[in-house]
Amino acid sequence: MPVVLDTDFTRAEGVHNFGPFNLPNQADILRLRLARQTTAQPTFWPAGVFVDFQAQVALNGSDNWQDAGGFQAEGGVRVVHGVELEFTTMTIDFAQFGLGGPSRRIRFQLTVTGGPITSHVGILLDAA
Amino acid sequence: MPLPQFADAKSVQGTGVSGLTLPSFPTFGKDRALFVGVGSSAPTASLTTSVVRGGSETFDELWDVTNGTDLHCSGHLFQNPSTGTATIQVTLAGTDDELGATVVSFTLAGGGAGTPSTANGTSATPSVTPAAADDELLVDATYVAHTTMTVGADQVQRAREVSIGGFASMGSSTQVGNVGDVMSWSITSNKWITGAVAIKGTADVRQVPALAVTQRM
Repeated sequence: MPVVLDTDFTRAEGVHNFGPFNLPNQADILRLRLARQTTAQPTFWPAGVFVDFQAQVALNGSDNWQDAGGFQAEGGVRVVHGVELEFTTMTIDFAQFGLGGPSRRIRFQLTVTGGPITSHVGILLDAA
Repeated sequence: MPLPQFADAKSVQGTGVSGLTLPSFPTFGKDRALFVGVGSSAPTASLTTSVVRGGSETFDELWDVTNGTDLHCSGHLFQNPSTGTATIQVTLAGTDDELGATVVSFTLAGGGAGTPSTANGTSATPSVTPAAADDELLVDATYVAHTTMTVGADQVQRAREVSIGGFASMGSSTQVGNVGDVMSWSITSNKWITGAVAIKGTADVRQVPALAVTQRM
């Protein structure tokens, strides 16, 4: 699975941009994950801090950016099916949105409210 | 009345989220209608707070129900969205473990929606049977506690999200109203929740030929 971005980060409240990044031609599915607070990572994304994460894709090397999806979530420890949830995730299927083809780029906008955030962001690509 | 026409469908999924933004897509054509399905799961699953397109076009809620406490499904309709490209924002009342959202767009759908039906259970065949006339098009939103789902007979799968958080799946399909009105999916037996509604077509306005009158003297 090609990795576009896989890095720790700290950001203050406000709007922050990531990218643009080049997308491999064969990628159809984007898996975006943002590390949550866990017992093992107590300094990551705490409760009371909210994020709005939005993705945009541009085709054929152009600057015509299309909204590709996003999510909204609050941080803090969350137990899912008996285990602590390590990541809040979102999956975008580029194929269904006609966002395939070569020379694609992707960029992200992270809006943070309720306090600063320390986390780890991963952007992973896969073929359908 | 002409049958409403399917135009487009999209979907998106997330885990540990309170809302999703569906990717933007264009709407065009006569008598447009948008149906949004939402499904989520958590120990106490949240209801849907709002579905809004382009920041201002607020969807009507057709149903918003839970299966006991842990699965949730809602259906929403917006008539005559503005033409052009916009995103749709789905917001839950709280944060759920898994969330899927689908949107299905129609044209020639100026007649609004019929009476929705919902159902839930634990079995291998999620199913609901809303009333629909022959010239109406049924659409469903189905959420299951299983990693995949297969659309039922006489239906066309329009949007599907599988393996949401490695736990759930969400789908929407359509069926013409003259083939039994049973909207179903197949899964390995587990919990499910579903709802469906008939989309009504645009009233058939035909031109009446001008009457030619010849006066004979």
